[in-house]
Amino acid sequence: MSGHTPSPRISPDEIRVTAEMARLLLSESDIPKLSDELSAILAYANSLAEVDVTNVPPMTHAVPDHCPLRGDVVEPHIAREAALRNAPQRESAYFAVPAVFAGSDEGFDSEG
Amino acid sequence: MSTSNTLGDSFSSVADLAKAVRSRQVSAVEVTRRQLDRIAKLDAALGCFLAVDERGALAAAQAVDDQVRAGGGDDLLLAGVPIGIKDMICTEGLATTAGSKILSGFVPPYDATVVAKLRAAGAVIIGKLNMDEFAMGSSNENSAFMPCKNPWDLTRVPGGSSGGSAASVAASLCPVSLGTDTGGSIRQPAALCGVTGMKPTYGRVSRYGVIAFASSLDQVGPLGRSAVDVAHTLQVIGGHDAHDATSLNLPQPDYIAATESPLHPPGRKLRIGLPKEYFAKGLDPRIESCVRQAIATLEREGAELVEVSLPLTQHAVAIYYLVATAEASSNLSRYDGVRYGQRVSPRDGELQPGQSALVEMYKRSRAAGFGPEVRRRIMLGTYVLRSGYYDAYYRRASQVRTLVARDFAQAFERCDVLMTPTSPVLPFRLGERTSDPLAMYLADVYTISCNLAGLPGLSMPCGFVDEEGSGPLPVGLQILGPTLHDEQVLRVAAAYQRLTDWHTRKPSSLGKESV
Repeated sequence: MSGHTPSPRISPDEIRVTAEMARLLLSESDIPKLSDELSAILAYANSLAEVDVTNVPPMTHAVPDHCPLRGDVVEPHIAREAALRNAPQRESAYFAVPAVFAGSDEGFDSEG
Repeated sequence: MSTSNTLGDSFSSVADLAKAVRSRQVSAVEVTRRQLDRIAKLDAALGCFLAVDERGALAAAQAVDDQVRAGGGDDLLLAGVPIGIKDMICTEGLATTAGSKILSGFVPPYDATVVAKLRAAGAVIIGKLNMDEFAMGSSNENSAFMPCKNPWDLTRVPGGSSGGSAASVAASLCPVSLGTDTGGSIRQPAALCGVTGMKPTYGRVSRYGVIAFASSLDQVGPLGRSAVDVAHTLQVIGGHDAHDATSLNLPQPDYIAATESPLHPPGRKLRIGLPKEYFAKGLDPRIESCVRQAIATLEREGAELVEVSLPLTQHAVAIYYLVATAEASSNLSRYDGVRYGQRVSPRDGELQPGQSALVEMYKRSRAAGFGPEVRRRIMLGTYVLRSGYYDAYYRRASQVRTLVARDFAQAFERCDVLMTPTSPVLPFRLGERTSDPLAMYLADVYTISCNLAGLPGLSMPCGFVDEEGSGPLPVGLQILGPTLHDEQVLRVAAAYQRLTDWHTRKPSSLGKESV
């Protein structure tokens, strides 16, 4: 159990940090609004703190015991061309992205 | 034949329609053509379809006719039955957007399992249905493309997120459709549009090829005019799928047979549980009155009523908005402008020193592609998953979720099904509730717990309310069953529909407009 008591109010700075994590470019005018809205929703959700969850396991599936993984065998899969067809930008058989390293003008990079 | 507008309408069920196609009483091409004509005539005013696949539908119908003419097709459960697919579900070669600009132009390279199964059963995919962006919403007003209207009153919302799936069936633009349900997104629009819609037990229907919103809650299900039509469609789309690790590897019940079975279980009377928390403050008294009359109808047939309590209902919305947003923030991280969808790159000179062109491309693509509700939920979900908050929010919510499921299991020791209103409010006017996200979330209170506990749930019409200036507006009755007892829910729904005719009512204004 975390001893962390969540802050009831999400400050504009917290919104900025969260937006960076979520890879969302926010306009400055969005920030106070999101701060208010998220704070209201989380204040409402704080009612869960009243519930005793000692020794209660978390739930992710209603019937978890009947979901076998399939065998680890190679099956037919989507052809490379079909997978690339929706790419906003490609170079030969790859998805192309803006250069990752400053000064690099390569269209794509292996593992950043 | 009757004078109705589509051939689909001339048959009392999709089973009858499929039978007529299989016996060459009518051709699938003719059925499809009439359906396309009606869509062309009416959908501009309704906004049900984001895409109509005229060419693909006619080709599929022709293929069914060819197969039948060649002496085959006897096993095609949905031979020639036109079906609309929520745009959350991938269709090979047919644009799929999830109602979002970030996916505009995306053409899936493969079919979702449910779509492949429909095609194999002879169904004709007629088009893609409007929805709230990424299924986030309860009114269809969060569609990035256009709002969808309620066929009973074009100034009102059809509900959401599967608004197009419900409105298209209500307006007879297709006899059945597929929706997805994460917190009520099939049942609530079914209620608001006066049709029957079902969310099966979590894991009964494959999610492979279904765009993910909240993976532990999402489930695909059918909408139709009746429980019988819903059962036929579910029979086709359900069953184990090795491509979905959450898919249940269990024998599929005979849903169709269930709809032909008597109301009562063998040897005893049906016990209907009434959770008192679902008949509480905030429920429109006119809705309560319709729901209670429906229950009284079944009581007259011998059903026993049992009052039950689900005390954790008060926490359901809170759990839902933590779990669903956390999972969404993770699922939607894939929309980054790299492999598909919209890309917005920083312009020359826009990059600050130290900024990565790649990261800035992600941020711009996502900001431009996602609408306000989706951005809000990604932000909330990212926040609650942040280091230090995970235990307090996501983990705790998932633990309380276990307790919600236990509440239901306990209630089902005393009853076979639960009956509740589906929505506490009637279809509201477009724009009426958009300003306060929390208030919109709270209206989902009756449908959310079913997803949290993974139960099967169905909504069907149980009456109409005459609203000043609107004419009749439909009211939905929700039936919830124990985990894995989907067929029980369908059995009770079909029995109710044999006793009543609410599900046969159609919006009159649309009839007049059409030929």
